[in-house]
Amino acid sequence: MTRVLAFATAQPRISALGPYVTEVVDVGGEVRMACWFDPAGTAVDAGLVEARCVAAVQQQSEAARSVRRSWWRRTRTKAGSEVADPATRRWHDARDDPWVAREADSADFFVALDQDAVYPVWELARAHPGVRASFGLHAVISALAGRLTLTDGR
Amino acid sequence: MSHLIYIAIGFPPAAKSSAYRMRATANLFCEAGWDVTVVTIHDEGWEREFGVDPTLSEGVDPRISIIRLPLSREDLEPDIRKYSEFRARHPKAWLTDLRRREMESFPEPVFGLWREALERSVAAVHDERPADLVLVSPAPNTGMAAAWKLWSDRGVPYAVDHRDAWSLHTYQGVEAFTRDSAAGQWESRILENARELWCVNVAIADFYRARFPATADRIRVVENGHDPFPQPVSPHRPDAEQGLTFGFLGTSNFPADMLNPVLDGWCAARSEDPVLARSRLVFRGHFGAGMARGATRHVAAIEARAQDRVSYGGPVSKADLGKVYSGWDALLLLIPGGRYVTAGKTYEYVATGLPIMSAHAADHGANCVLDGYPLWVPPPEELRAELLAQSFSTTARLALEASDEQRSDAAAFGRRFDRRTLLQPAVQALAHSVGASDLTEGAAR
Repeated sequence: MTRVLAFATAQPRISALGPYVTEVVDVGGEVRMACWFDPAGTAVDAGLVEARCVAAVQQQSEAARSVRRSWWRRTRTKAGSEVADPATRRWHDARDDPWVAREADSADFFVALDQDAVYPVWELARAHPGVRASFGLHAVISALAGRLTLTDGR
Repeated sequence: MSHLIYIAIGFPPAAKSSAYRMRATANLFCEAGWDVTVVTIHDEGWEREFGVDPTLSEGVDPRISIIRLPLSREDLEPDIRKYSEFRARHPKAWLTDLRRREMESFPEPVFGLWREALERSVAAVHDERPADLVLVSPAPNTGMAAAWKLWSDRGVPYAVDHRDAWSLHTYQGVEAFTRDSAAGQWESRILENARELWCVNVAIADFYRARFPATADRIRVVENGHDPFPQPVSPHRPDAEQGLTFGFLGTSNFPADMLNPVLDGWCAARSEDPVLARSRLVFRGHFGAGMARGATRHVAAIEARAQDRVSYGGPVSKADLGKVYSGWDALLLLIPGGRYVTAGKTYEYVATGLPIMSAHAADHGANCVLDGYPLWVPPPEELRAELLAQSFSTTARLALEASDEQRSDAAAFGRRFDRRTLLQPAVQALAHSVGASDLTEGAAR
């Protein structure tokens, strides 16, 4: 069973995503997606096993702490901290999500479905030697068919 | 036996329209008794772009040697583990820097960094088996640097098969760069010393004759033409009760803005014409490359009209072309550009013998091919929805009312443009023009 963990920061078009997911499923794989939007509908329509909004977890926990920590976050932002950088923020969202951590441990491929999802995938790949990481699901299909080489970091 | 080094990036199995012309050219040289070595890139490079179509390789003469260089478009690298942290975090800034580095190597974005590898490999092929002629088929234009260098260093004559043009934006019909720019200086250097320059239509040839008057007598028009379909197209008589199927097969190289009036025209025609109300409009072909495959604005616009029976069905392999065309009743020729663009698709369309509705600029190079085709609906004066709606209705009538004689005439018209028939005189003339005395030509300069 090939397990693909995909990341998307913007809603992918079902017509673009669905056929590739189908191809992965046809060769005995399954695709899960971590995203930064409401995935309702996308999972079923595109044939994903599961989709999860990682930002929601972050937002909930942030909201709970917001009163206590607002002064601290303001200070950090003013100082131009890394947390203000969108790429880093997305990586932290993914890193801190227990669902992503669980799925990442059993994934064979990490996939960025759009440009802004590349950095979290790049960081995850560094933390998980042995998992191949690609930009786009098509590369996974090509790799599974032996037409393309994706390195695994080992 | 004479030896040709053919720099043909896009050679089969690349799923690119250039593959057909390149295959036919290499085969014709081979059949003319030449030893042919093709220099192209490895299949993984195409996997990143439009993919590969293994059926295209089936027609390549097995006597042809193929060197597949491990070159790929760096901007389409799918392996994220190969990205630097800078690229992963700042993709736009990284791309800007890449384009700058490419232009430093050779004045062509995307491909400039391939120059050194191409020059080295062409020289290595020549060292192993001395070449009598180099033929280079841009794009990428960087390939011309390798041909020029071998001529400059070793005196091997070269010719350029410009499927498109370099200093001319063929779609916009304007000069791409001036003669004194870096690209302009390279182009002058290359074309002024080329044995021949092939262009795909008269308009581009005229542009180059005006730009390089001293080269004018070495410029030849070699039209694209089409290949026989692996399975013949079997036209059927459309059924007005069931409705017609209009088909588009090609790449989405037209602006998305050009598609909208066509779709609007289709919807308007359906509301007026009961036959069209029962009909379908199907788009097939490569829409988007690399990560954007099937995810272009075009596909979004098509899907938004699903209720009007408009759909996108993905790419079609060469082996299935005949089957796909046989299922359609009329063809939509939607191509960008103007008088400098002919489009290989135009030739393939006339080969089907099906009614063709033109949806392109009124003054377009495709008109030169289609003029006289018995089942042609010429483009409207402007690409406005109401005019295109009329074109859809006219095409539907033509498809329903065409006589057997008209269909037969259309099929015969298409046979004029057989690719090999069009290419053969050019290949023969170029092959005969190369003699032993040429071998010192470049080195003596």
